[in-house]
Amino acid sequence: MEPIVVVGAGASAVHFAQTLVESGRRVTMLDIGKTGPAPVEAAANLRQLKASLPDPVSYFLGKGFESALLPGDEREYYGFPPSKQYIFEELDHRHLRTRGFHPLMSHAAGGLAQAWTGGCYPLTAEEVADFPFDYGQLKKWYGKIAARIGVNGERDDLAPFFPWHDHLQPGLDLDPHSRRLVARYERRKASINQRHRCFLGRSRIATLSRDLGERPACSYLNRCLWGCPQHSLYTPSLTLRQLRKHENFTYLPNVRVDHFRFDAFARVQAVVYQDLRSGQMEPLDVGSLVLSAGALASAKIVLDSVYRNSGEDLELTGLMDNRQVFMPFVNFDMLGHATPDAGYQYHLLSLGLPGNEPLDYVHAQITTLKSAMVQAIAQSLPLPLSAGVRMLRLIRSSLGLANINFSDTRRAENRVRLAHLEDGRTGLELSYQAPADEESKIQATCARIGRVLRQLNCYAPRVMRRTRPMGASVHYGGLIPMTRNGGSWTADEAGRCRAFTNLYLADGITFPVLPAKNLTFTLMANAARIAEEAFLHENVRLG
Amino acid sequence: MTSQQSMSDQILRRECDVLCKLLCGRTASAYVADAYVAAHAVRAELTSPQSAMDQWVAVFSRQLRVFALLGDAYSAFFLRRGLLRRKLALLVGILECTPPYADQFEPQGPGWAGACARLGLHGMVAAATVSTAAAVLGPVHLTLAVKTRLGWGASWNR
Repeated sequence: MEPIVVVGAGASAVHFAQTLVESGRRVTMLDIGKTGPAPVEAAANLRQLKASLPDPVSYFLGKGFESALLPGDEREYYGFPPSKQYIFEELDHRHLRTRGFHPLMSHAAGGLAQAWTGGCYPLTAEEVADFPFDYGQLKKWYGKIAARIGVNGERDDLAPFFPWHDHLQPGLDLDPHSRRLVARYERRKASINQRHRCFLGRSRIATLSRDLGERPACSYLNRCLWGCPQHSLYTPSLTLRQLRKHENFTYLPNVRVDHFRFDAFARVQAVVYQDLRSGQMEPLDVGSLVLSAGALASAKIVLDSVYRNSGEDLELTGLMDNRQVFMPFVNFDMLGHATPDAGYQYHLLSLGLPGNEPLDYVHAQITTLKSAMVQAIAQSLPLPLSAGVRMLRLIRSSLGLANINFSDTRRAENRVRLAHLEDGRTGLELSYQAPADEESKIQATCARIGRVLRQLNCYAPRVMRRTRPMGASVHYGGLIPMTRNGGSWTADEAGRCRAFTNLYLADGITFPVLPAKNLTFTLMANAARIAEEAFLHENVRLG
Repeated sequence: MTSQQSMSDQILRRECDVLCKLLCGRTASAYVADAYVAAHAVRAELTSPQSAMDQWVAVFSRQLRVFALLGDAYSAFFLRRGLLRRKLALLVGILECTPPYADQFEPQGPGWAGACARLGLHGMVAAATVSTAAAVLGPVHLTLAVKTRLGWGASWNR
């Protein structure tokens, strides 16, 4: 059989590859493959870790103190702990020209999902109505991916928005703050559901509540932010590690794919990569090429390839991302409460706010502040710092954050093209314009969530609310959409780009719409579905 | 290490000690002071005052804990991105990941009523400190602003 070459090693790529190698197909994966530091003191909780590390300041703030947020610093709270800084590529802005879009990219083995918070929200049949395949195909893979990675959840009021699928583990233990929110919700449910059309329930999270293979169930060490030291929280590098043991799998790290070559019959013949150790450009023959490097990196490879082969300066339209709004709140029920050392640091609850149309659904993850460092918050308060840290001790356990996600649709004005640099190299030019009614939608939704929070005895000060720049959610998609019929720069249901006979796209680039939920779980399920549809059904058909 | 560097380190260590007493009522350990000095070598924001007053408040505050209290209170409203506030923010970060100081940043659990009472008390003390700081440091700020505007004396950042 002809070799299948996959570019990238993120959430989509590893599940695409796993589906094939477990079915007997050979896969070669090309990846830059940066790796991070090994976990330290794997059994210690956060308090014990501080006590046992010889140099805790380097671990928590970084050797260059880069994780200490100082007044005037525009970075986000808890954005990049030192142990995860390898995940985010230092963007060379000479190669990137952006308007209205602030992308994040990764060269890490495992991709951007190495830093995710584990939200696994299956889309509904209505939300995938524009995808060119039956919902059942995706639903089947939601269950299979859940079995691979370990997802927990409960049947509650959010079940209509996150369809139930196979292999869900029971939910994690709730922390005291989350328990109080749920208790208030139960008392006010009728009003919250009917008056505000809002529903509260458990997040679906890729963290083990039961042992799975060699991975233990969550030990509630309160260290999610710095990277789960026991790998109870799933990251794609775990699948990559497993794949590397498989005889059908070849992993080529330290290579950056530049472009691919194709013939007059639009058949991809070879992929050209740069060996990052020698700097040499090398070709690799392919039978089928699968781009799964993330929507922007995959788009760059396609644009570069077309330009080099035909001189055409292609423009791809329909760039999408989920707008996110951070809404901090204080829960008066938690005022003056200490928090236990044992806890799960990331979100355990979510809010679902349906609208008139499926894509009007708004999703919010609720994170309660249990154990994160307060330095970043203290320096932002309009108080003397000496008074601020004392007051924070009293209110810290009552602080929470609603991370509100909005859907996005493909629009022609949001586009990506090559930037031609003076030195002959190419970069990316991204242009994004928010829809005209976006601000009013954000205001109305935040007001609605604010009213719900008041019902839960919480207060969300308006001045603390923050709309994140477009690009910050890292849920990119839409540039070569999957459609039932379409032109060259669309993909069919098997993820094959219609401009070529053997180029497959297995990341977010093919999503025709972007519902408001974190798309990583759907990326994994869709990549596995594409692997089956494009390469395994073909086997069945051939005989 | 040059003698100038050594002197600068000594000043930073003394400053660290004063600010540490302000934040958590105890002196800085050698580890905390080392980290504080090391941060000043790599984060340029910690050594670049924004104005003559910014520089003056940082120097004033390192002398005594009570001066640091006034400087902190004044900076909270009138020099929010100033040097002293940056130094304090850094030190909070260092202290909260370093035992035994870290315990003093953990949530307190005096209950709802106890928390409200303490918050009220802290708020009143903070308000009184800010008022005093404004009365004491406001005229200095005004004088330095006028001097800078008129070009009198040495420029603060030369």
